Amino acid sequence: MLGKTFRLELSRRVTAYYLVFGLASVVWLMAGVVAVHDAMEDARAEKECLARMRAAASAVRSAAVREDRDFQALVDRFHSQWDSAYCAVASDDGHFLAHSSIGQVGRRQRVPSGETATWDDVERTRYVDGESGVLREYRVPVRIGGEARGIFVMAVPEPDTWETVLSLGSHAPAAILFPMVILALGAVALRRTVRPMAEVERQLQLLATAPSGAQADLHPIKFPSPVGVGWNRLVQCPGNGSPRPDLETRLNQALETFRESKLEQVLNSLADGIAVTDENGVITFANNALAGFLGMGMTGQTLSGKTIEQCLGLEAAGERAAELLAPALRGRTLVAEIERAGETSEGVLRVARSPLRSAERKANGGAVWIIRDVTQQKLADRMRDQFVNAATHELRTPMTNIKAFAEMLADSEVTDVEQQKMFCNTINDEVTRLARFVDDLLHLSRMEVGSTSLHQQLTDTERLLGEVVNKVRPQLEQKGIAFEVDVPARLPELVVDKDKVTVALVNLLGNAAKYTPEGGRVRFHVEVSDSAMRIDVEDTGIGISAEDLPKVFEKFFRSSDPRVHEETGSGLGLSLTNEIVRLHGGRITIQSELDKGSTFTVTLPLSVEKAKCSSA
Amino acid sequence: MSEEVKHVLVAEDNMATATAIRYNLEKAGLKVTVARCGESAWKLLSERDFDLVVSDFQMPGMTGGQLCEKMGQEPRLAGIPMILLTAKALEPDSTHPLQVLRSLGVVPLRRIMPKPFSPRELVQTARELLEAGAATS
Repeated sequence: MLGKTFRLELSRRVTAYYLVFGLASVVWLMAGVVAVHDAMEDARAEKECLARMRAAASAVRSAAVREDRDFQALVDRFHSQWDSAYCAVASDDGHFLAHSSIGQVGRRQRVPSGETATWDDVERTRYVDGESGVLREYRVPVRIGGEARGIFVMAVPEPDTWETVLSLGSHAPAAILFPMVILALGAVALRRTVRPMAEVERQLQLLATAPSGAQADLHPIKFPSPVGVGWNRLVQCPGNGSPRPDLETRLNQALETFRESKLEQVLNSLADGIAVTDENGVITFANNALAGFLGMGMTGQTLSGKTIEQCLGLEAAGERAAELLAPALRGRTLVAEIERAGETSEGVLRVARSPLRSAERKANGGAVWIIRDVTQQKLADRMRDQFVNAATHELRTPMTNIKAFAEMLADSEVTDVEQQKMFCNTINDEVTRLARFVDDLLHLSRMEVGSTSLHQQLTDTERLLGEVVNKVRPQLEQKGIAFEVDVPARLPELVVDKDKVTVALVNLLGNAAKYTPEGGRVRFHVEVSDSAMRIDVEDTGIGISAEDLPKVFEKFFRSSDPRVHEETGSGLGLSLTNEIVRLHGGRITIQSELDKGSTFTVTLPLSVEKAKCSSA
Repeated sequence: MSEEVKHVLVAEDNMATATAIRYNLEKAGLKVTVARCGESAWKLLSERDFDLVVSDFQMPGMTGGQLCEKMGQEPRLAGIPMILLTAKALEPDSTHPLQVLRSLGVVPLRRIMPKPFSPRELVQTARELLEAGAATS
């Protein structure tokens, strides 16, 4: 029985316990009430008897004093009035003088044995009488003039508990009904509160008893309580009651999707274009970068379904590119470069195709394509090649001369000392030229790469300009060129890299000197405004043609004008000068007319921001 | 072998190099005329007779290669031997002398010498070509 009870659901058990203990409490309370009532009734009865005894004693005494001696009448009266078991008056020697049962008159009073109690002079004895049940016999002495001259005796049946209870009978229905109703209501309320838990518990019990591996049939419950909502959430079927799929399957699905989307994310984040094709060359996946290269939209989705040949324009791209498509070569990894000249893009793409292998390393005809935009690299390569070619020539020319003259010197047949001297001087000059070229090259390279920092300091501009002028003056005088120097008296101090600015200005003036014929004029003009310093180098030299003008700042550029070629020059001077001016935040502009002359204008800003002095 | 002095045309834009070549060839007993660019060399070729041309490859305006090409087209000049001096490294590219000559068809009596060159070797090659040229004319 107990076992079965424990198998009962919690909710039922709770209700059962509630009812049981509720009822027990009610019953206990009622018993208590009854007991109290009984005791009170008892006390009342006792008190009444005592009062009666005293009244009776008084009446008997009165009768005795009056010498009435009609005790029997009194006894009878009392007996009927009080409904006693018996009443009697006894003389002081113990003989009944009067008795409700006439037959007892004259007999000797016997005090029954039993429990006694005394209140002042009233004495009571409880005893069991065979016929009448429990009786209480009261005895009180009758005192006349202070002496006990007789006894009054009365016996009453003890109040029966049952009778007391039954006297309450009228209250019983209400008394019983009321708690019952309350309990019932309580039970109902309890049951309702506990119902969701009961449902949950039932499902859990099913789960507990179901064989392992079987599909658990957990479904949501329809109770809008926190328990219900919580359970439903747990079961993950909000409100529609559909069976929960197997957790393992769902987990696998989620992992799969996660992996796929993660992979896709990764592929779409790459800068290289990736495509996957099937055995027919149809694109099954393309990442966003590829779509970008081909100018076909923002996402790789737009390429799905097209063939890779179409997208890359492989057929038109030449022999090497066609190899990428050759079925015979499917199993190998091939790389080709394709030049694209489309409407939206122009450039060079490096295409690598590898066979797509499954997990078992078997090729299934599909391919993975990796496409990289190498336009920038190609451009850089081209520029580097140009540079190397130009530099090679400039380096080899002086070396040629050095070697030739050195060999000529070594030739023992040369005896003419003057000639020997000339040969040595030539060698010397060529070495100088070579050295200067290498220096210029290094400076220029470093400046362009950004690894040169300007050592800008507050410079005495007047002195700087003075030095520049002095450096070029001999060259100009030698060629008989008039040199005009127009520099304002007061020059602000500039924050510049003194050495580099000197190099730049000397270069400009040097060019003016080189390319101006004898008798010409070179003017060096400096002007200062609020925001900038402006330097003009004006000459009446051979000028620069309109077609050469945009190219003069290019590295190694030398005009094809033969007059230019008569002078030595590496083609780096203006590049260097331009770079120096640019690093200072300034500009160079040129105005020139062929055969008339040129004016080079350098503008250097006087900005406050440049007032940071770096340590030399 | 004829006793007349052979006339060499030197086309070179660099003065020092031209001087060196002239000195060495004159010391070898040859007569030398120097042109400072391709155009003037071409002009001189049309005006006078030369037995040998020594030309720089990279010159502003008409290059040595172009000069060679033009000479090849002219029947009178096609037989003149030529030495081409080049400062270019030996990477093959479309403007390299070797490629240029290949595209013109391999012509005998043409030599390529890289810069820097040894004057002695130059004189040696010049002599060889002059003998070969004399043999065919």
